[in-house]
Amino acid sequence: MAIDERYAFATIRELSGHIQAGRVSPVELVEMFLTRVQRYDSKLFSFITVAPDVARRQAKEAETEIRAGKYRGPLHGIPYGVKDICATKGIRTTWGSNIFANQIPDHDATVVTRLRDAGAVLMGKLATGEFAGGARHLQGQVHNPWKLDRTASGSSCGPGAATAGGLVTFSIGSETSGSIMGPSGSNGLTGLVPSYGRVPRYGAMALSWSCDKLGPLCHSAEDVALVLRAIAGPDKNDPTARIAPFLFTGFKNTVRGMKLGVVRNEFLPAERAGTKPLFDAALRKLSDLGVQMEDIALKEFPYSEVLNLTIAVESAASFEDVVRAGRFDEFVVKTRGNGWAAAMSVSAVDYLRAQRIRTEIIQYAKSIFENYDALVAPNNVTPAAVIQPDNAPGGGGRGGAGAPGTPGEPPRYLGNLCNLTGVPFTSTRCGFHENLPICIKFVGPPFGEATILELAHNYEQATDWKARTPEYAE
Amino acid sequence: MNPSRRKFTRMLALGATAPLIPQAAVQQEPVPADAVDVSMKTIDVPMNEERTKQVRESVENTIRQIKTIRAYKLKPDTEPAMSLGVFDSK
Repeated sequence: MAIDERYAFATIRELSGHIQAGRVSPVELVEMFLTRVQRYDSKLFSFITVAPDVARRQAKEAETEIRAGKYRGPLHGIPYGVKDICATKGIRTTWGSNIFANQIPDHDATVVTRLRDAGAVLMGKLATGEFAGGARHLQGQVHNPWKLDRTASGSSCGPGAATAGGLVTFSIGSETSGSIMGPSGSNGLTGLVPSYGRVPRYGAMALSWSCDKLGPLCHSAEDVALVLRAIAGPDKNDPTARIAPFLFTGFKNTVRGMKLGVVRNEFLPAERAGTKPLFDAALRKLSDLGVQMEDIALKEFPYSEVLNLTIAVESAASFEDVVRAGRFDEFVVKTRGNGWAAAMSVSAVDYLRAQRIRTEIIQYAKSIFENYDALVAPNNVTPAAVIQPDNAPGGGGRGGAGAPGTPGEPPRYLGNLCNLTGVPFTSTRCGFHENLPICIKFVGPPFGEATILELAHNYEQATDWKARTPEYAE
Repeated sequence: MNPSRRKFTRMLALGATAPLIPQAAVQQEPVPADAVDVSMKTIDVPMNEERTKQVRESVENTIRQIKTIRAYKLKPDTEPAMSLGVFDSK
């Protein structure tokens, strides 16, 4: 029986209520989403591989269990997609690359295993920028459901577009430098980059071992918390995963008395972009909610040089075989190989020097949170950019829809600080500009996801930005 | 190390051996032309005009990053941050 397609944009919490009440079954839900994928993904190109057999089997299992009284929790029967850097047993995992177009893993990534254990239903593999970089991949580029001529940003472009476009209820993306925040901002989602070490990375393609994080892209902060609860925690297969499960039992529903550092320099480009009123209104709303705010200026460090060198060297090492074999002409983005070739000859001494600077940045970041519960800044000051032709130079960016640095304006450091230090950060919608989403972000202390999700949740409850959905399918 | 990689490594050493200099001056120092020329002959992929230009840009960017990193004044007892154990979990 066909069900109301308004369920396509419902949250996990809403859908779980409908499922528990018997108003909709997991089988009906997955058929609705599969029909939508068939009809509308020809506009978005968000899936690399749809897995209808897997989806239907898992939906049937969920339905049978729920009817038998074995309810696993709010993710039971909920359709999701996973970025195509995460291994899925028997389903091709391309890494967005022609070179790995036919790679079929014999194991599941830990996040996939945990979501299956929670009863979630895997719809398929979502587009990733090639090798988790940028927005171009072996099948082209992903389109933004808010305006089809705009990019979904990368590299979690498929998770961003599929979730925002109502083709899955939530998705799993990854961030090394901008790849969850960029698509979250461009597609108007609540996305989370968890603390480094919070979510196991076993089975996920390694781009930069000391910077990679897996995280959820959802319709709400509560959904993010529910997904994080399912996927976080130690993993015998991943020694970098800390003993840090996320024991979410609900929000406090107040942020009164929290102290936020407003990273004022990050807001300055919004004036030129025309989005300053949205951020001013967001800060006023936070003030109305009882949050205390104080301007903060970040200390100067060579953030971008340290981050870029770290990622370049680590990713060149991760893909050493590909680089040494000289397979650059097989890349979707040909320039990527040249950067890695240059990085392969960076000395260990210079890499370690960069890591020593990184230690000082980490110590500085920890000191910030001795005075503030969290930081607040724009996620994207400009809406999603127009899609560039496939033959345009560059890889479509590493994610992040913010304005580039401009002479006369102070540089924006916060994203680089976050990815160098492994602190958690989340983004949620705070308005629209040119009918495209604009998002604000909250940055927390190490393992401070509860704090920043509480902020995002309370802000979402106090505003109605989430009510609007894209109309590309009409 | 094969000869071509030795040349490439030497290239980067040539380009990035400036003594520690003030931060502002680091960004102004030009990349040695011979360093870039050497690198273009040592990467084991087919080279054409476009790739040569791209490699030049990549090498220049890398050398600039290294110079900035070398110019930063570290505290003497700072240890490198590795991927494990930086934060205490709660």
